[in-house]
Amino acid sequence: MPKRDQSNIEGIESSAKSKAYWRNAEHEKGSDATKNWTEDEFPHRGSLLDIDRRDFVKLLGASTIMAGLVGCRSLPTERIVSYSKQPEGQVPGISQFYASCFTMGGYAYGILVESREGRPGKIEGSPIHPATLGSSNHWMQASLYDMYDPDRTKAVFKQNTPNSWDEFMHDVRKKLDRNPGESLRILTGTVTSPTLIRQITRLIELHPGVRWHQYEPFNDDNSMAGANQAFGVTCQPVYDFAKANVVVSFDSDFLFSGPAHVRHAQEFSAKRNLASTESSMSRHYAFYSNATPSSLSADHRWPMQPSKVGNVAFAILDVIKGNPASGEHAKEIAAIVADLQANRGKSIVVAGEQMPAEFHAAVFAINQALGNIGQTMRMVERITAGDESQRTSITSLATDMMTGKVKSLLILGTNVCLTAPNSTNFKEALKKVDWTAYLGTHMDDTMRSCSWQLPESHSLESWGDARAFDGTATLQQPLIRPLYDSRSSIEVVDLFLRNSRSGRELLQETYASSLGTNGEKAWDQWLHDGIVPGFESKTLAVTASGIVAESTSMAGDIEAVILPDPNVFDGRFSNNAWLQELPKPISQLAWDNAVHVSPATAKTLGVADEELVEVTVGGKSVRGPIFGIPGMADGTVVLHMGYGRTEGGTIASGTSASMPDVRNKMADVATLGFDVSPVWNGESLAGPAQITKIGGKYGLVSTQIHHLMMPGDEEKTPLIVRSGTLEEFHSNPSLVAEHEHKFPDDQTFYSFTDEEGEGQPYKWGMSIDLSLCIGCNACTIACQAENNIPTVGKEQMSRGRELHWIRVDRYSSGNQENPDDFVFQPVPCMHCENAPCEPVCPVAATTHSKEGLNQMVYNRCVGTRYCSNNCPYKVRRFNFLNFGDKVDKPSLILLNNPDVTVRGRGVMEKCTYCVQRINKARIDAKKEDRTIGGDEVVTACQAACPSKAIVFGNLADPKSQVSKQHKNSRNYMLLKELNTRPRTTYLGKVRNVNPVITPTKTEEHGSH
Amino acid sequence: MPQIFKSGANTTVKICLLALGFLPVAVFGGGSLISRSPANTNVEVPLNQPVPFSHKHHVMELGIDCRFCHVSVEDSKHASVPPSETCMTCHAQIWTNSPLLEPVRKSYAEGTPIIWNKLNKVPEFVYFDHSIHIDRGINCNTCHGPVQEMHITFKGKNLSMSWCLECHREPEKYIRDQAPGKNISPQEQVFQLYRNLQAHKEESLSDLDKDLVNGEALMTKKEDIEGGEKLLEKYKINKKQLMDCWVCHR
Repeated sequence: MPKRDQSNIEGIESSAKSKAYWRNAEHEKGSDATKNWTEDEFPHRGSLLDIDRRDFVKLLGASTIMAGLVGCRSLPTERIVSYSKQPEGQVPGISQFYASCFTMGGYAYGILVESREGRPGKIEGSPIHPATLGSSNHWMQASLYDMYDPDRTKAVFKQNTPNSWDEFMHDVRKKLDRNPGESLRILTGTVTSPTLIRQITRLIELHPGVRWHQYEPFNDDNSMAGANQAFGVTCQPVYDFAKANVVVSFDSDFLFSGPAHVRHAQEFSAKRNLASTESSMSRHYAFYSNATPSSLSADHRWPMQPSKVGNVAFAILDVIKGNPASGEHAKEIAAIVADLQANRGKSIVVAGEQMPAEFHAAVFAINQALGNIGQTMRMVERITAGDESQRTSITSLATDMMTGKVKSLLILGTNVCLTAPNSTNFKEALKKVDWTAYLGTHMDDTMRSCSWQLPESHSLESWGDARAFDGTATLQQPLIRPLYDSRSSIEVVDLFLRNSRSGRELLQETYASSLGTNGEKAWDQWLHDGIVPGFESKTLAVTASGIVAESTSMAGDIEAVILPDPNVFDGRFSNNAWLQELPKPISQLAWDNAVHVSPATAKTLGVADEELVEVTVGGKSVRGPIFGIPGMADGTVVLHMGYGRTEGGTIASGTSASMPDVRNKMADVATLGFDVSPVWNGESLAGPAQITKIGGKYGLVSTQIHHLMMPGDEEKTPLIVRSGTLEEFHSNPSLVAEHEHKFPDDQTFYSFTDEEGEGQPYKWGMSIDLSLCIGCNACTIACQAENNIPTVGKEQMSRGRELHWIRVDRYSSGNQENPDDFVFQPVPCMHCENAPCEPVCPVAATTHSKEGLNQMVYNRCVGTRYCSNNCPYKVRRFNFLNFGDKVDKPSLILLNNPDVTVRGRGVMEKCTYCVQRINKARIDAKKEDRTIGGDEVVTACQAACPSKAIVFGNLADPKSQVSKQHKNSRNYMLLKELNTRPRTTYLGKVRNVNPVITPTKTEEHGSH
Repeated sequence: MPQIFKSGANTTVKICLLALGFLPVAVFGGGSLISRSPANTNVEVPLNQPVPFSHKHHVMELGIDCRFCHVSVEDSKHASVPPSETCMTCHAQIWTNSPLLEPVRKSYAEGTPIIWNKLNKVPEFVYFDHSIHIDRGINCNTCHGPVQEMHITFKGKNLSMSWCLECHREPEKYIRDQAPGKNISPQEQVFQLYRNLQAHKEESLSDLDKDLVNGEALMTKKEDIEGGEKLLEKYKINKKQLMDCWVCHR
């Protein structure tokens, strides 16, 4: 084979003059750490050698014998278990999809759940549900794991001894009979469920002593109060980003959090899809403190302390009112206001939930002044139950408990001991209550402290309902009977109403009045759709008053912000291995939380990544490792809730045998991450903070430098990211940098023939639009759910052995401390037509299909790992330790997709373009005597992607969406100079910058 | 002192040396023979089931269509084993007291499954789909052998990869129009063959049909193969694509 020396290729040198992109600071500098990581075959090998000589010899001998013996076994006779009576309509081997509901923070997301012979499988967004429009997020995907979680509570316990539902029911009845007016408190999370609201209202009618409290740590108290201030009535906003030409966000992660974020991401990206140079694109200005998918994907970013974000909003309101801009950022503010006013009624100004109420009122006033209310956003009736602020509610409950006013307390699924404000001292207060009952899925902090410990059914195994962000009533239809002796919250409340009806009956009772005359038929239709029509919240004709009180948020040298963890949220997903192992957006950390500061702040404090610090807020402190995030605001520290758990399952508490972190533990603490509850006072903006270095380190795992595609040597930086401003895109539609070498399309290094590929009806290909990707990682976890990808644990992950088939790389350019540009690049297997992995396989386990797929045949692979070594994109994953083996956790075996092989130890694996879906489509098409539609096959990552950045289809069909994308002028091949001819290509990133604002030099930009 | 080695010793040594040379051949040859023999593959080894169901009786003597029991064979990857309910459609009326059918009655009455022993199994990394093979007119017997002759069912073919590839490499030698001139779908032709067999007995079938019902689908005559090639074109079967690894492995 002719030599394929990269240095021979003209153009590598010259491409270096284009905009340089890097993964992290070390990478950019080409430091030893990065070099070691990329050049060492076994990074962090130290622990591998922590084995003594005798054990080594023993293992060596044993493995030699065992290796010979594994071949000699006779396979057991398999059994076929037939039905006694086959369920009607079910065909073995054919999946059915049912509409159901995933609820988070009380709000509904409509989902479609695959039923494989009666077992819930893959979850997708429901295309007709307004909150998802067919897409999903990582929580929806991962909720399947929660269902099969082996650590779930499985039976009723009373004070840690086994008991029964019957006993519980007797106890409840005895209680209510003896003293019907007894003070019973019910504590829930945020509730929108019409059924639960109806039941609790009825209970309060029957027993005047009952009071209902709602509490979740991250709620909409502030925006509700803000709306109340602005409009004078209780209402909440619904945005339509598909109509917004200009978006200004104030510390708002509208694309990644909140009940409508999946829809927001779709609408936002629909406005930014540049099919050609004629297409228009919306513009997003972000003033923010925390680096999030929304803030870093903005066209203009101004990182600043949270207290200053508020000032900017007030300044903008001032300028809109006609006052001249002044103070910091005066020039930019004037330009933004001009842009907003040019797009009156076609813009959105949006504030983060954690911002103070006055500030939300100011933002509503801005929208009112711009004529946006009624156009791009509308105010609707409150969807959540009750009208009390959740912080007030939990505080009054805790006070009453402390003073002995509360005789009994029923908690429904909110782990309040972990999340209540520290001032309430909830755990202590709980001890003062005589009778406590907790319904939950895991033995968590709160369940441990309650007397009745009741197992809660997962949403996929129980009936329920909830309303979406716009009020749409969504039915939660179970796919399976409860795996354990568990009940749902509506069934438990029904016990208090002296009934014991099924969830289905309870739902039908709620909607009886809507059912009308042809009841059964309407009900079936609702179940089919997952939606009960007629519950959409009414739009209110309201006007925001322009008068707003100035905000009084506390400023400090360093301001602390406490937020839910992007993956495990407030701890409710702590025992979910999929979410723990998923790299968090931006930080790319897995399995831990950290003290996040900007690199400049870290430098000022004299601390480096992984060094332990003490963060003191309001006299209380927590300890944790530092992790710098470029793009974050200076003088801000972000802490994430949900870690440092001692209860809640083996994964949550870090005690699972499969993931010991033997390298280093945080001082004397053996948990994963650290608990922020000591400094949690119920407000995300926690106020001024001090950070002091305390010495010592805690090992963190961030995948930011895993699978580097290029040396950390700027001179040889090959083409990874193409980007430009909208103006540059108009003048240079391909976004090729001026000095970049133009590689001819037909360049070859050795003669390979493509003739076999010609004339094929199908040429599968993918296109990923970097302008649309927001780096949310929904694709990674959707792939994990579809393709039986096991988790490997923190220790193995620290060696770069994670098995995710699609990763999302984060690149930055310019100034290291506040880079000019962030690009998120999802990287699955490229399915190169001229794949470098194929010729190096000694056993032909990886070959090329006639339709252009780079096939990996697991049963043929002998694990030489040559292919992975030769893959320039680093997309091949090696199963080092039989990670897929779940014999010790049988319930997790049910998670597996029966259409995909469960790979064993010593086998290479990688993205297959969801070949099981292609094969299914091919067989269906053949049976119907037609060809597969160009867009018919949808990969798991594509289906999940909320911003529709990933497109898959048939390149041989010129009408397919992917063909059109490949013909887009922004289309480029990753590492094209290697002539691998990848089938997965990218569309260059375009930023719609305001020409009035853009500084010409990067230095100026970095000074903010 | 007597000779230690007798005169025949040289010959013995020579034979031994020669045998030594043949030893690896014998070991590997023997090993491969054993691995291909029914001792390992279980081909044509009847396997007892909880209910001694006779395909010969139900298919040949009673003329029940395959799809009466294997309902999903045209729609799904699984042909599926019938639920006890299906057995009871007839056996609630006839042989109601037969002790052989006790497990079926028990299963139906108590709602418990009958646990059958699996005969035809491909490894878990192989994804075989019944429906598409039937749709292309591949007869059941091509893979399952002469089922209509089986009292106690046995595995008809060894289902090894090389055996699968015989057809996937040269599908034109296995695919044919079983009812030339008649406008019936390939799928219907499959079941028509069994109806013909049942109605007219084997002697009246054509030679090719006889081979098919005996599980020998390979066609050797030139004109038959040419016919197969035409069918490939008609059905738009892509021979090259049939050989892709990911057609069966994924």
